[in-house]
Amino acid sequence: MRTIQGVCTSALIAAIAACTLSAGAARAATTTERPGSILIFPKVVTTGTRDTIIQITNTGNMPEDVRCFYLNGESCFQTDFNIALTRQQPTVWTAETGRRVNPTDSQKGIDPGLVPPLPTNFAGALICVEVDTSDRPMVRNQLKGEATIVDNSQSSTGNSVSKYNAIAVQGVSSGNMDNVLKLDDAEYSECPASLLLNFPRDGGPDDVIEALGNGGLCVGGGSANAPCNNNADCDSSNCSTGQSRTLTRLTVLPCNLDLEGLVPTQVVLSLTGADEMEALISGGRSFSCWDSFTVDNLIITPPGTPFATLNIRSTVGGPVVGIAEYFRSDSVANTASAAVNLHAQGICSGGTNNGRGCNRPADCPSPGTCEATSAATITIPSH
Amino acid sequence: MVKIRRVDSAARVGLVLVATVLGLASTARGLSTSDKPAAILVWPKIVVDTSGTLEGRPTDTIIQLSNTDDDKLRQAHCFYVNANGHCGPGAAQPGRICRDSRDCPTSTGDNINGFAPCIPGWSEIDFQIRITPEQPLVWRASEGLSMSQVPLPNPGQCSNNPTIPCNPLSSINTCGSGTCVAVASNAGTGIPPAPEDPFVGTLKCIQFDPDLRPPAPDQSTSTNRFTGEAAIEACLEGPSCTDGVDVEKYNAVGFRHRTAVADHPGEVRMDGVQYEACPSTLILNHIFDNAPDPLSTATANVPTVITDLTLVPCGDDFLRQEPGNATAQYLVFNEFEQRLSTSRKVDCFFESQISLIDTPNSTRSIFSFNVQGSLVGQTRIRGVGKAATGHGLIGVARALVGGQRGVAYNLQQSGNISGADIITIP
Repeated sequence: MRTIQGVCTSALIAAIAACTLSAGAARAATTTERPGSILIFPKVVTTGTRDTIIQITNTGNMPEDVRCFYLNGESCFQTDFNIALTRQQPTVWTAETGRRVNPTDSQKGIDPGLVPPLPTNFAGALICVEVDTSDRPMVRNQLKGEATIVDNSQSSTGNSVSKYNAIAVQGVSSGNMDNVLKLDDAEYSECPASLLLNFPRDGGPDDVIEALGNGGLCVGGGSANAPCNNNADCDSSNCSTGQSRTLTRLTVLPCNLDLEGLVPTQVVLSLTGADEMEALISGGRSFSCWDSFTVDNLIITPPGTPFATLNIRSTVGGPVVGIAEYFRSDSVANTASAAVNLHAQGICSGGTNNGRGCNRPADCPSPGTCEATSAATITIPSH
Repeated sequence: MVKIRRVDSAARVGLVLVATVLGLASTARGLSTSDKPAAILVWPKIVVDTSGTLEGRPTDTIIQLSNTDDDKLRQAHCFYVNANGHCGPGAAQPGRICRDSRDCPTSTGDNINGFAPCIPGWSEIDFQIRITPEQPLVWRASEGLSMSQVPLPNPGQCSNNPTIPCNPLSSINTCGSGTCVAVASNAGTGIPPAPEDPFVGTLKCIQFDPDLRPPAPDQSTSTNRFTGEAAIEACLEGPSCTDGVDVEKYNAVGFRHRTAVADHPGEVRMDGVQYEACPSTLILNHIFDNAPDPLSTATANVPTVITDLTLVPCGDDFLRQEPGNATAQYLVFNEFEQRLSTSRKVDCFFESQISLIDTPNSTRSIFSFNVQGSLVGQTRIRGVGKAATGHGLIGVARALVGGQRGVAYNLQQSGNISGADIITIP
């Protein structure tokens, strides 16, 4: 009898150990460098001069059906359409013109489907979801994407091109394939608990422009107000430098989206960070549905140094994803831009470091825990 | 007897279950990341050309390194890898910095009758950076950051007046009635300028433990603290820089530390055990070279798009001064699902316009719009080889419109590479 009981116990212990090990596995977050099942393009804009090139690729060896949703950041209305990609097929369209199914047009390649054009002055996001042939969400993790925002005005202020990788939400299992996509690490990966932004102080000069380009304006003399880099560029006058400018625009989209009921998600962002002297900076921002704003003195404590870092987390409305776009102008407003994906970081939950950024459990003294990700839900219209 | 055998089977099932879970855990090797804090950061492309002699326009790179820890000072041991080539014998200016042989004419003036070889080079310099909690450090690659320029140069401050700096290790009390209190500072930081101007190369930084003697990579439970970015800024329209600048920005590629390993000191292994592994495949989405700008409204002289690809090996032997190397295999898909392929060696550092990877005639390249017949393509890049430092590759791409406006972007990745990529530290 003792022998039988001993063997039973060891089997039970082994099973418990297995469950414990699997429960301790790391939770997944969104990614910008691996294919996923949901793609999020947080910033899609069409203005009189700016347009967005969308690139989506099927990285797998199975054909892929994709259901996409343009979300208007102002009205929070959505327009959806379907595309179909053959294996390994890349495709492209521009937001303002869309793409027709016309093998004889100038857009070479297998047309993925009818992509509607967007109206001028659209600002919002694009979300694309892997689906099966019946339009039910399914998980294959084969999609990757990029967005390129181009200013084609050819004006001095319109010489900018920015590019970012779409944020991919990796699927875990197809679940019940209903129209409620649970980003809970059971159906899909969760969203990051917080985002990190490194940015130059708003309005501050750009070191490279000051060193190499038009960092200043001539003061007086025969070339008054002409752009200059140093006194030698000015006719009998001095060059007043330090007149280049930097600006950072942050675009955020909540991970909780109701694209069926069109109920905008209300979000409150907490912004905390430090400048190069470790002086704390903080601020906040509330928005509904989608937001794109300049990180300036109206949003946060002005940094005391040329650069600072910011942790962005949502205190109301669930987690957010986003991208940053940096603008640099010289003294006569020639402007260039660059976009970059934001880094992700966890947030301590509970304990003495509650609410602070964390990367590992050790960063959050007991009883706190480091929550790297946060759950969300995307509801898409059901057919 | 039957009952004992059944129970025995249950025990075996339990043990198999444990083994299975352990096995699954060990195959999850992790991949590099460009959107999470990490312990090793790589900036694949750093460019300096303040006079525009090589790039055709003045260029510099602003490098950002941030400590995401809000509590502890962190240390980075960094390596600038200089990938400049230099003109060989026979050039009119031997030793001149060059990208290819076209930069090494055998004569000067208008009658150029030949070109000398551009001899590739590889050398490294290393330096230390100490970053205080939550601090972003930024510097121009052409200038570096000396101790007099760091934001927090003083290792201590007086307890009776925090505005008075002091040295807590000094035997001389400079604080009067107070004492010198040690504070987190950038003392010990010395970032050199890029070793040459013009310069093209790579920057690699490894998180070190500032409390270990001798210095060693930080394998504590609180590692993985660094994020990094690079902004390549270049003047538009030639050397005068009067038409503004172009800015291209990308995130540094990070490798997160996973498990403390003590059996190979002096090496950091990106093997999925000690640090995350290099990806087996990089995925580059691009517009095929010389395709018309899809957003151009011009009816004549439509600007075209080209893509510039930079690849660097994951591993390097900085101790024996042996760069990493691999062969990059390229698999190119167009929008018609048609597939073409080529391969090219990556020796220490590889940079090329993609339509010059497989041929010197870009219009005949498999990366060319003329050949592919579709606007965009997907290129899958795989590193192979038998170098001791491994065969993983990482990289960054740049797309240029009309040869002037550009964007930089991180490559995507898939798959776990077999074997380890190793950085050997001097």
